[in-house]
This record gives sequence, structure tokens and C-alpha cells, in this order.
Amino acid sequence: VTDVGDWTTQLRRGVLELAILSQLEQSVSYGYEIATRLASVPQLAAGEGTVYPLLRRLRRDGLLETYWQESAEGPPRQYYRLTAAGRRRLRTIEQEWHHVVQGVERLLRKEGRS
Amino acid sequence: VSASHPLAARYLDALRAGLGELSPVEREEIVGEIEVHLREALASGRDAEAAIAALGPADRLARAYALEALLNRRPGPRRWLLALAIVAAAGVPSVVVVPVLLAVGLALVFAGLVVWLAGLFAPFAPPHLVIEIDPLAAVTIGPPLAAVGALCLGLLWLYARFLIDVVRRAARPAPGATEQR
Repeated sequence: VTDVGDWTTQLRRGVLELAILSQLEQSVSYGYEIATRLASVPQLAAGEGTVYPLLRRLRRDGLLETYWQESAEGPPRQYYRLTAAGRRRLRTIEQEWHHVVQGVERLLRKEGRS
Repeated sequence: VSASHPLAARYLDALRAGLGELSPVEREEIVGEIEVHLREALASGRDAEAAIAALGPADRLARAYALEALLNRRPGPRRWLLALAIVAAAGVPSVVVVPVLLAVGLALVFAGLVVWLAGLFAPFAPPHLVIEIDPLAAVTIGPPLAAVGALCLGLLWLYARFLIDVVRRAARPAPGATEQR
């Protein structure tokens, strides 16, 4: 189980969670829009399908909530928005993210010099 | 709706087959949301084949769903419910313990001080103010009386801190339960 593929998967899952929460803080959205928007960011390397299981867990954990909204193009859409807990979670992992990135970059710089 | 597109229908069937570990209700919810996704993709003019390729293989998607479903649930509101229950349970004895300790403590501290002061000042009291108390006895009894009162107040303080601590611990997620992945 401990191959590089697994490590990359875990890393991407964590980053994707951050990306979803941050996107939804900026504006509410529905599944298809979230999936295609995040899949269009090549650095995330997220297939459109990868977003859905995460959305489901985040909702189950009370970080996201859903509501229905009429759509001009077809049937009503299920929209996602952050809950108060989701906002708190976003702040925490945002901080954690900057923390880790700073630390790793410092390490890489040191190694580059020597 | 998706049945109108054979490729989409086949993909959804494969997804459903991969979700065997989950409850039927959850399985159909998941198939439903992916069906909506494919419907949106087709409605926006995308080719069915491309939309399905973008979702990734059905069995991989099913595994990702199963993985997220198996992850530890965050404690969430249930922990708060537990904290509330503890407060409620502690509330019953608190109704008795807190006022009794508070009343007894304050009364004894006050009485001890008054007796002690009375004992001190009795010898110097003006003649029209008769203090019927043995000064020596009053001065000796006052401090222990006040000390017992202070002990009561101290116990009350400890009890309050204990309650706060218990509630806080109950409300805090168990270590390792939240972020174990």
C-alpha cells in the first residue's frame, strides 16, 4: 500500500479538500460546476469524479450543507455551501497548508545550497 | 434520463456494482448524483464518451466513495450532546451542593469574623454597649469558624472547576478520532 501512488493520492485528497472548501467560501456552487472547475486546474490533477466522494464526506461531517435552487437550463440543482464548521475547518487547514509549504521550502532551499 | 444514453447507463451500472459495500440507500444516492453530473455534461453539449472519461473509471470512483464512507466520522454535534447530558446529570446534585456550600461557607466566614472581632473589642466596649461574651473564648473560636467557612468555599470552587473540566473534556474530540486517515 505504501507506494508513491498512494502518497500522491493522499496528498491530492488533502489539497482537493482545501480547494473545495475555499471555492465554496468564495461562492456557492453545484456539483457539476465544482467538479468541472476544479478538474480544469491542471496542478490539482483531479478528475471530475474525484470531487464527488469528497463533497459527500464533507457534507456528512457537517462542513457543507446543500439546498435546492431552480435553474434556468433544466431541473433544480443541488447547491453546496459552507457551514460555520466548514469555515472554521477551512481556516485551520489553510493555516496548516501555509505552515507546511513554508517549512518544506526552507528545507529544499537549504539542500539546494549545500 | 441517462438510460437514453447507453454509455452513461453502462457507466452507472458499473458504478452501482462497485458500491456493493454501501447501504442500498447510499448507493442509489451516489448513482443519482453521478447521473446528474452526466446529464449536466450532455446538456452542456459535451460528448458522452469524453464526459465519462473525465469522471475516471467507474470502479475507481466507486473505491473513492467507499474510502470516504469508511473514514472516521468527525465527532460533531454528538459530542456536544454528551456534554449537555453531563451538565444535566451534574445539574441535579449541583442544585443541592452549590447553594448549601455557598450558604454555609459565607455564613461561617462571616460569623467567625464577627465573633472574633467581638471578642477583641469586648474589653474596650463603652459601658452602654454590653457584649455578653467571654473575650478569650470568642477570640479562640472565631478563626476556626471562619476557616471551616473558607473550606466550604474552597470545596465549592473545586467542584465548579471539576464540572467545567468534565464538560470541556466531553466537548473535545477524542484524540486521534478526527484526523486519522
